Amino acid sequence: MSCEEPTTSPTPENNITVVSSDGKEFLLDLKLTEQSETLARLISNFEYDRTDVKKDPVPLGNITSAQMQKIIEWLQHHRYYPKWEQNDIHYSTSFTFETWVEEYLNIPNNEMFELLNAANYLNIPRLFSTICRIMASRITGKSAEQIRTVLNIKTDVKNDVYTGIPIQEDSSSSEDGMSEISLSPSPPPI
Amino acid sequence: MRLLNFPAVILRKVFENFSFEELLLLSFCSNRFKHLIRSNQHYRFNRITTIEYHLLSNNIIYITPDPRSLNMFKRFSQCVTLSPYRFRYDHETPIHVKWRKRKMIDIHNSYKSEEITSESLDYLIRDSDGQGASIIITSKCLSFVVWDSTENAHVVRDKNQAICIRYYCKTRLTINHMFQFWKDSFCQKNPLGKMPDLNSFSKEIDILFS
Repeated sequence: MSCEEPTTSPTPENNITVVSSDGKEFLLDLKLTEQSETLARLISNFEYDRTDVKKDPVPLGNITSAQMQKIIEWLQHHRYYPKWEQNDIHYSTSFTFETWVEEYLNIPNNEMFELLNAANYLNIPRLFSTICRIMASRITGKSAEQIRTVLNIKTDVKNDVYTGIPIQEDSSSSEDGMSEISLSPSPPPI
Repeated sequence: MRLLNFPAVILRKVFENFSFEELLLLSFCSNRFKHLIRSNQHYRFNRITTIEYHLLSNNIIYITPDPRSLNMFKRFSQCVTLSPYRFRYDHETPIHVKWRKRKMIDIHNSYKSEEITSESLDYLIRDSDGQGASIIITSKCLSFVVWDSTENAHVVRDKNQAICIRYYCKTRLTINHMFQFWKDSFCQKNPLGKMPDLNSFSKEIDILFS
């Protein structure tokens, strides 16, 4: 799926400011916010789409600046896409992704889960579903042990489903060891 | 952050984006996943009326839910492909078991022998006398072959014929049948010890599939 991008320049009246959890401000075009149901409803309730209404910055306490940048990148790319409609995607195993999407989501699991959380908070169904499908595609055709490694799952199964052979627990599969780079905010200094 | 750290509402939405086969694979990872998937996606599983297991000759099992509600194309694109041997024998090469099968060639009870060759990954060799036994499972039949590993008799010779019992089942074998059979009839009751008595062995198979 691809769309032609018309040449329009955003005007200051068409923007709102969102503030991430670490205090960084982002200027968002109102057109972009249509993809996020949370933001779209907020704008509609506060009538921020009207030019005569003063627009206060919108605090997004659950989203860090790194996550917000990533989300804005997604919103910009899908700016002129038709509205996402939830189909029976769970009945389709052959789900293909654009090259851009594959590159965009070529990130460690830790970051992907945080992005999933942010997509859920902002209610961006296209991003949420795409991340889920990417996760699903990473486990398709793999054995239980490989899935455990990919998704960093600690097993509580004593014996293998098929062979009955006892499974050796991998002590290195702690959640800290997943990725060195994280989009989550660093803990506050004590 | 881990997948199971998400709130239940998010996990439910995540699982809704997974197909049946992906959920099945995921449920093998841990008991917690299994219980979560069962409780979260119960409403979807309720729609499944039947689950079909297809065992193919190359040791691959296709599992497909509710085949009646799907057309042929969708049915097979949605199959879970599992290879029971993949988990155990990633780097092992199978042995080639050969024996001769008697085949009727006309109505006057004339027979000729025909060589059968099968790949076997599941085999045992008794240390004391080198007797080997293989089990070969296909979608339509189950073969149990006894051979002499010291004489390399699984490559069949005149003096030392490999013994084979083939069981043709009326219905397709299921994965449960296979493993139950393998564990109960072969591995546990005869762990590298006395070779099974072929008569009682075939009776056991009859009981199992009856």
